[in-house]
Amino acid sequence: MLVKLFGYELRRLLWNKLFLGLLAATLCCGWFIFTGETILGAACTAPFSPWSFGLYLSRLAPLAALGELFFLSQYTSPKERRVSAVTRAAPIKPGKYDAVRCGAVLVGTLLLCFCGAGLCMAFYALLFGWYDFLSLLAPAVLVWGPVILFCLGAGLTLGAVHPALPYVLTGAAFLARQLSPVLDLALGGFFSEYPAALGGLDPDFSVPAQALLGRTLYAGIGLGLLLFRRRNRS
Amino acid sequence: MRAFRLFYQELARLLRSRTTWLAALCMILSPLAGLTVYRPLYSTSSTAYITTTLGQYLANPALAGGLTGAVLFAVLTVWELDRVRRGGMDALADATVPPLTASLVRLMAILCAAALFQAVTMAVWLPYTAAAAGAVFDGRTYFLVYLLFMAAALPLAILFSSAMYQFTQRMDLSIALFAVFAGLSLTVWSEKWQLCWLNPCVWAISDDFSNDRLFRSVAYMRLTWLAALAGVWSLSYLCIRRYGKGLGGSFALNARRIYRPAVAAALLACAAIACLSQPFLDHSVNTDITGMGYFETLNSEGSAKLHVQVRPDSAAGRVEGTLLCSISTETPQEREITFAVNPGYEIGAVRANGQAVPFTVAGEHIQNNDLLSVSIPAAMEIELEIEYGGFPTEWNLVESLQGDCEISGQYMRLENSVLAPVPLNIWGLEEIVDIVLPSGIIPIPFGTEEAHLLEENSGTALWRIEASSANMCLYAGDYIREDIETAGICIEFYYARKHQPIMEAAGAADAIKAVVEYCAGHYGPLSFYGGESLKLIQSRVSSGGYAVPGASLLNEIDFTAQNLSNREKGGSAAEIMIHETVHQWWGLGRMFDVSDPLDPWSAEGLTTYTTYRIVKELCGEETAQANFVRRWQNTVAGYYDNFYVRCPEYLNVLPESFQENIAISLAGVRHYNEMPLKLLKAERLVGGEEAMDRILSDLFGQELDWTYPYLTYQNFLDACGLTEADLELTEEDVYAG
Repeated sequence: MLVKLFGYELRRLLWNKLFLGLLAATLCCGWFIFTGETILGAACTAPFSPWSFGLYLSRLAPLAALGELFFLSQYTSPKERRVSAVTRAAPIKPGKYDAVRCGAVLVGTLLLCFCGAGLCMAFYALLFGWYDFLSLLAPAVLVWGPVILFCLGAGLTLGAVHPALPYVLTGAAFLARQLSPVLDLALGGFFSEYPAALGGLDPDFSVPAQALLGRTLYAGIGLGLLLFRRRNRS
Repeated sequence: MRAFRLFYQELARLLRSRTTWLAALCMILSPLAGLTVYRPLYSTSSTAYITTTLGQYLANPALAGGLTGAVLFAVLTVWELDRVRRGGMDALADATVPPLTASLVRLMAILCAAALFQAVTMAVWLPYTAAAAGAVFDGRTYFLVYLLFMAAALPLAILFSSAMYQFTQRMDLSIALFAVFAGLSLTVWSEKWQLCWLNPCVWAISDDFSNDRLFRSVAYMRLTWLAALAGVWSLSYLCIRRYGKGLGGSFALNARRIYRPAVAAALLACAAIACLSQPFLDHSVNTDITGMGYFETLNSEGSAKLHVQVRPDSAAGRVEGTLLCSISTETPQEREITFAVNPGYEIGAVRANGQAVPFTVAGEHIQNNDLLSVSIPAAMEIELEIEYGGFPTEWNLVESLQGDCEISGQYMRLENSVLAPVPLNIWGLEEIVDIVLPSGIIPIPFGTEEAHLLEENSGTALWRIEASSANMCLYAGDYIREDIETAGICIEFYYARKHQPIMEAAGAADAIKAVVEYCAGHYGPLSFYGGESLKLIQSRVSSGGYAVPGASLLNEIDFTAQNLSNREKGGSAAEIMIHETVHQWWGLGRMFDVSDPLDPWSAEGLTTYTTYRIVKELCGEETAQANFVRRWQNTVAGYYDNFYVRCPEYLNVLPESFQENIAISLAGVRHYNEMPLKLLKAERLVGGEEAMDRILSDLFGQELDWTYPYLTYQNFLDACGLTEADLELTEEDVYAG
């Protein structure tokens, strides 16, 4: 039953113009970011270094966040609220139904992210003949983990209060780079400045405690908002 | 009356639609793209985006707005036209309102909405543009730029998309056709000024002088397309389906009222005529771009004194004039005198000693010149009088760089045959030019001549210039003249009044004095010194500078506030002012081959090095080290750390376009930082500053080989007695200090 429901939600999410439009926008932006910036390499490192890849992902992060919030807005829209009386009457616990929807949104968002990252990796393979993709896992998790969790929490919880609130909060999180590079939800400044600060050429990928703290903070806020919603609903 | 009521209702409905407001919002924000990602105006620098201030803050946003607005309104038009059909209400709607009336009403409502949102966009961006452009902002230019570069694109897009929908009755197909039409303009037509309907050929706009010629050219292109697309729309109007008939049946039915196809045909004919008879460019087809082959066939037959009376019409951008030619000959015989005339001019009357004489205009254009042949009778003394006038054309070879032939109330550029017909087979012994200009603008002859004010009436002034030869170039504008006595000559520095705050802030006069004293003393005087004076004239934005004995042009674009803050060239605006003036020696006095923009040897290296030396002399060692040497070292250190410089094998595997982009992004570092550092090393290796100055002085004064008149890196190395390897930078050179 849950699997069937998940399949239905996923199809509803992915098989529409919104997803296709977002996918096209992601690929288009990915192309411009790669050819305009990533190909030059971040902080004098190779274009295929984890630093350059991290910078590429951080540039795409606002688009991924926007996509996730768009997906979530479908569940908090006035139209959806009108039919909530019917969906709530279905023989399934609200918590489980929420989890199914969250799962579908996560899959949709991850698909967007993978397509964006995949484009970059395809460039690495085709242009440079470079295939060590496993080394790129760490920056991917570092950039996208907190972004996805934060948007999920904000989109589900604050979207129920007012549809514009998640966008405002997420926008503010991206603008927090003005306060400190590690507070930037996208973490862009970190990848372009930190390797140079480490000294030496082509430093190994490492994350300072400050940046980890910033990422944990955003992931924590996202999880906290999700738990808050779960508690409220139950 | 019913149509008006329907129009009002349709407009009100449109303004209540969320889709319309979404399109409007995107359109209002779209000039942002011109500030960031879409900057179609040319940049004069590879290291930073450098164009004029108005180009950056006004023209680029307006062009981006025009492109985005056109796409948005094209989609909105098709979306709105398809709305009734999409809702399955077309039969009902057709029964209520005749389809032809509904189509016209919808079109007018969308055009009206576009005009409304265009006005909002202009109002929203006005404060920002005024603040960002500062002293060079003016309301008229703002209004015209937004009107021509942005607003004029909207009706074209709306007409085309609407016409396509009326032809095809399909939303997807109409949008696809629009995409193709827009794509053509952005790609294959982008350098054809009459075809690029969406993105007009604008390469730069002037901050300090007027842009009337460019505005006229863009307006002409837009109006031609407006007539053409209105014609296409009128044709599509005839194809609006009625009574369930198909395209052919509906056309036959709608065309019964003969005025409908007649209007379409008239509009299309107007567009075709406008396209073919454009007055802006000549019709040169000669592939010999020097034109020398033709002119060499004309032999000089006697001499003449010329007296030109010119009356430029600043409002219409036209020139009217009379050329009086006093020809003396010792062997009187009937013969033909040939003149080069601007192809845009018409010859009104030609008289010899008061009698009309036959003349022919060849109609074969060469380098923006036509040939006027006048048959003169056999006489010892002949007073030849030629009346000419018209709208001057520019050379069609540079159709995407229009605007040079500016004639307005603020600026005039009257060069050679634009000023007056130039005799080709008689020797012009002297030329007197009487020119009537609007009060407030002064003429500056490009050479050693001086202009004298003869009389001033209400609003106009009569000026006289006496020259010792024919073929004059004249610039006129609202200039400020500063006389700078230095190094035994008087520099007459002319710059636009509008630019005064920027020139004063950059210490322009002091910079010129320092540069002339230093460079004339160290490298020698410029070959284009005119005896004891030199005019330095800030010209309207152009694709390059040039010099003649007694005068040299300074390109406006080099003295914009933005360029004067380009830290690649110096630590302060005053130092950049010095840099730009040093180009009179390195770049104009001695030229460099610029055919390969990636070649690290360019005028920039020697200019930056010389700027450093001047700053060192004026401000001391510490300032010069901090503002130049240490910055060069830091930048070059970063350059050597660059991944592609360390691992060129990765650069080589990239496709050519990527290689070129990366190389261009690094070229600026090589021009402005690596090469000056190498020159500093050369200075050390040849024995110090004095030895280096002697070498550069010899190189500057060397006789030119006119088959390849450029100063090459090899010339420099040979003069120093060094090899390329000697000047390779070591860690010590880069990291010392």
